[in-house]
Amino acid sequence: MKKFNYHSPKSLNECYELFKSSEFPVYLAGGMTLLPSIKQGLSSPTDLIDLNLIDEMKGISESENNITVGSLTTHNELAKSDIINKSISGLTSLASKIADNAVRNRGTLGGSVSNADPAADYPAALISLNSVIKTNLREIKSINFFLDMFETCLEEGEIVTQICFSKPDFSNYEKFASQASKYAIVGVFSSLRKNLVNISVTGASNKSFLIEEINNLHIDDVKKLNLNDIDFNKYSINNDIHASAEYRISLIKSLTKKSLRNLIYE
Amino acid sequence: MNKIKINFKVNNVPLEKEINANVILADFIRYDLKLTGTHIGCDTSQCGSCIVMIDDKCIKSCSVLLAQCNNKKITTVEGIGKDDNLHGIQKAFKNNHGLQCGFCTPGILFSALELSKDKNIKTDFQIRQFLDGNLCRCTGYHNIIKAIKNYLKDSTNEKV
Repeated sequence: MKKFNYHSPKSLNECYELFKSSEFPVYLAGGMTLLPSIKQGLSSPTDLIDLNLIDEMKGISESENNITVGSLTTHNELAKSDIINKSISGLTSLASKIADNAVRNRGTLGGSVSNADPAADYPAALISLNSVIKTNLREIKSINFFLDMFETCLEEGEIVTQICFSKPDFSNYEKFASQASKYAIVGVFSSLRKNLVNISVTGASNKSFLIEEINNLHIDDVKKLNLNDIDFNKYSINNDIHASAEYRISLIKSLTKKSLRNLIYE
Repeated sequence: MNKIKINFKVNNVPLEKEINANVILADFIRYDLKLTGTHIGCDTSQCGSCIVMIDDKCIKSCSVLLAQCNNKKITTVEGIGKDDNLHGIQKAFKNNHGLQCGFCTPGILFSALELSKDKNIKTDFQIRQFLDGNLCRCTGYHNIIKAIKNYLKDSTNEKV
């Protein structure tokens, strides 16, 4: 195992200061991606800064229009939250489909979002629900957050502390997972708010994207839409060992149809 | 590399240690504590052979640092039953031929114990879905499912 220092600071400020004073630091949340990456030599940090003692990054709270989720919330805590299931059932279903139970007990919302794996599930929900990502420095709209494969707009040392989801009227997540890794080969998240539909896709490209043709489109117009008229090639669909671009586009269409059916008839 | 002082419990035994930052929990359990019931299979958090419980929740100990276990309660397979007094889930695996080589079994026992706390899980399909992170190369899973179903039926909610 590579050598590194381990710190477990008690305040956000302390985390940030430690980050700035270390050579190649990295924040540790659940570690479900980070630790395997270090073991495989894909990442060689000098300092691990464990965020798990920071209380302000924990918990799930609800207001009239929003649900705010602490970034240290594990996938299983999120999947089992009644508050979330009542208002954003698509997010409940999404969280319960991530990896496996033991990984869900450990992996966190903030860790997954900050890592920005192109095949991760959460980005689809964040984009479709137009969520706001809160950090120790600022608030960022989800649509501006994800830049590219494993690349976000986070500055050096910036920490995702909470994610604020505005409640939709309905939401749904459909996923076709790789049977080995459980990552999404294609995942489709749809949400309905005041009869307007938003659909985002993950796993299919270098980052999650909103289907432009269904961006705040009225549900009556969505029903008339023919998905075959949409040119998905403009989203640079991945063509790799797991699935060809053609197959992924076919999955996007079928999962979108399935998701819309659930959204319309729910 | 810095040294870290941690306090934790393994199978209810309190321990205080000064450790290196980069020690993996699975390695510590096997090579320092000599509790070799916890197995390291894939070492990439996929196979589930290294599953133990931290604060009564299943985790893959090959992907957790010992340094992250300060003030935590760790349970390994040695902590759930004894040779002459097996835990109900171990009896169920024994009675239903739920293991062959036994390499994956400790991890599966823990998944079964966590599963048994979820009263919504009843069907074969739900049990199979829950066992997603546990690979078994011998049994074909059928007798594992049978053992878990029998445990769910017979269990009088034994505590881990």
